[in-house]
Amino acid sequence: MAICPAGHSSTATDYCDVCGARIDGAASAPSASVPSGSAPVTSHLGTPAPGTPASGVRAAGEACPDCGAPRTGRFCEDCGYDYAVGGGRPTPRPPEAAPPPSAPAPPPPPAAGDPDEEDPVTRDWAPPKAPPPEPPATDWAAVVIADREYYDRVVTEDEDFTFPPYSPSRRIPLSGEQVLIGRRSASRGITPEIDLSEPPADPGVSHTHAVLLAKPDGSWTLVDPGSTNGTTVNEGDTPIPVNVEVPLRDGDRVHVGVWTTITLRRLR
Amino acid sequence: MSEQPDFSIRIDQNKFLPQGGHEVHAIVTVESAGAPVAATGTGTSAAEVIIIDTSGSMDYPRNKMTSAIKAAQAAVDTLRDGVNFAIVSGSSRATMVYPRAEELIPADAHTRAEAKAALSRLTATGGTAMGAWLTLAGRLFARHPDGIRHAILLTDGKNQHESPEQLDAAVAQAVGRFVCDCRGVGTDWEVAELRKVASALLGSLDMVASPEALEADFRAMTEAAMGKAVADVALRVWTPQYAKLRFVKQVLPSVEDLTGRRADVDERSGDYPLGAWGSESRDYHICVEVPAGEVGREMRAAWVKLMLGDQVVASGNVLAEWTDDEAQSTRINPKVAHYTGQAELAENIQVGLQARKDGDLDTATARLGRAVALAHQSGNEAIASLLGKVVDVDDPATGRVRLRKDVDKADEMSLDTRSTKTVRTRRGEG
Repeated sequence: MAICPAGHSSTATDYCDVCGARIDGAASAPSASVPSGSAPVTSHLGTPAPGTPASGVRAAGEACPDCGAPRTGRFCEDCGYDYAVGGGRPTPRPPEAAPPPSAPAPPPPPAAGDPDEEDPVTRDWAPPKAPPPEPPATDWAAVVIADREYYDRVVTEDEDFTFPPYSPSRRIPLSGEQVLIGRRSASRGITPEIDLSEPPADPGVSHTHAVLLAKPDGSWTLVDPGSTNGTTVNEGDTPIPVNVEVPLRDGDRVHVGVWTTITLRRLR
Repeated sequence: MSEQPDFSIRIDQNKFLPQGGHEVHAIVTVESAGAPVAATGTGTSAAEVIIIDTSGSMDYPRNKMTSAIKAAQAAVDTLRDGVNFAIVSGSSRATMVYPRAEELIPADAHTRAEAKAALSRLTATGGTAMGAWLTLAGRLFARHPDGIRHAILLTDGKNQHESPEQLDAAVAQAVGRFVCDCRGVGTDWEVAELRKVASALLGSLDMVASPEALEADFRAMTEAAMGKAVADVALRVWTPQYAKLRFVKQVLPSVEDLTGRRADVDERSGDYPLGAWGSESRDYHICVEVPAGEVGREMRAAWVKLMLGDQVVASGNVLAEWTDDEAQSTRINPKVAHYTGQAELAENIQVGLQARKDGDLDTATARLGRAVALAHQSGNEAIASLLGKVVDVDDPATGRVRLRKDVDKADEMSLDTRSTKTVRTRRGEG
């Protein structure tokens, strides 16, 4: 009987019977085959092995009852569910960030989209599992910084967001047909190219906050599909309208969340 | 036990996932070798039922009926001594051709001759009710629950004399009771309808455009059935807690989605029936969704076992490991890519042909063009040449095509029928 890193007892000694995690000390298995006529199956049939953690004793690796993300600590990384006091009941999802007082009326829910607007990424014959197309040569990059000026403009004194003391700027090449700006969510399968959950994680950014779309002429446009706190451009006060493409030029600045400014740079 | 073939399982995958990645793809190759195949007369017991459509249309042209009779006679000749067999004629009801009683009879020189004589007296009259035919076959097999159970169903028409619900119910009843290869002759049968029957009963589907070709085809099917060494093999797939098995598809020799055929074994394992197995190799594409793990962590995303009854005869691991090395996580396993393309090829052909029938020529051109490009890339020459009879190809690499105006119905149907037939990865790619 082996014990896996998450504390399950496992009859198999290489990978856990319950969660599949590699058991410490076991060598990585080849994806190989056993010869014909091996022992009959006994290990994984029937009742769980004795010592399987009871439901009250929560093991690491369990899924959040609220949003389904894997557990990593007391609080769910994705939705903030508190395992200690949650008592198994889903908690109401907290707002992703308190909107600044000057914030506009809540934008409409993420959107059905303007029916007149052509969906630039869905072609009906495009198979969902097509091998990814070769990304075109990258002409553009996005420079991501924690922007003190923007922070000072939008965050009031009674709000509790501390501007990050250390915040390296990041340069992300733009490639493909679209580049998502947002926060990563394992449970919802969102993996933005410009991931603002990386330190210093911006607390005012939605999972799917905004999208940069490549145009056939080589330029890029910006779309906010309905983020919680809106998106502004070039120090503007008014958020861009939801689901409307805004053309961007070299040097344009996109502001999201409480301190993030993304500057578009043409490289050649 | 000594006649049992040696089974092996091989897994092809890229186990590396990027941070936050949770979708694991793998190709499972199940191969059996070394079984002295049962043609020698030893081996597993076998039962064979041949179902011949004798509806009125089989007489137009008359050579359909005579060819079907000849084909069935050739199949009877292929049965080895001791195989329990029967011949059923199908119209708006099912009737016994041989033997007269509702039972299977062991093959020997005498019964084979009697069966062939009974076949030669068949006449074509009445309608088409395949559900009734399958129900009778199911009753015949019921007394021979062990060993290989194989049927051949030949039809030339649509299922007109019972409702689609009646056919569905009869097919559902027959699932797991026997394997059924289906053949359509002529151009008046419905590809989608017969595909449903063949697919549910784990059999092949093909079109026999000229009645004269039936004889060789029937002999080949019977020989293949006689060559099966074991019946009722299953693929058992274990997945970890919080994982989701997105799909299990056979991808070689043809595309067949098995996802809905799962029979739960316990909380984390399920069996997918694969039917009878001879000396052969088949590939399966498995996709599992696992909770994203920490970089550096490795887990077993699926444990695949080949089951013969409750005995594990081969097994393999589908793994997942998270890495921050993009060079590793972005690599796509060539076999996974190849079969993803083959499944997409089949889908594009079926959707494209349907669109063409519905008069949506833009969709038809786009889909069939995509199919041409996929067939070209993967080296599926058989499908590429069938596609060439339906579209004019300007550029196979990009899939630029024009729909042909005058397409032979038989060409269109045989493309539809064979759309799911796949090829292996080319040398050096797998």
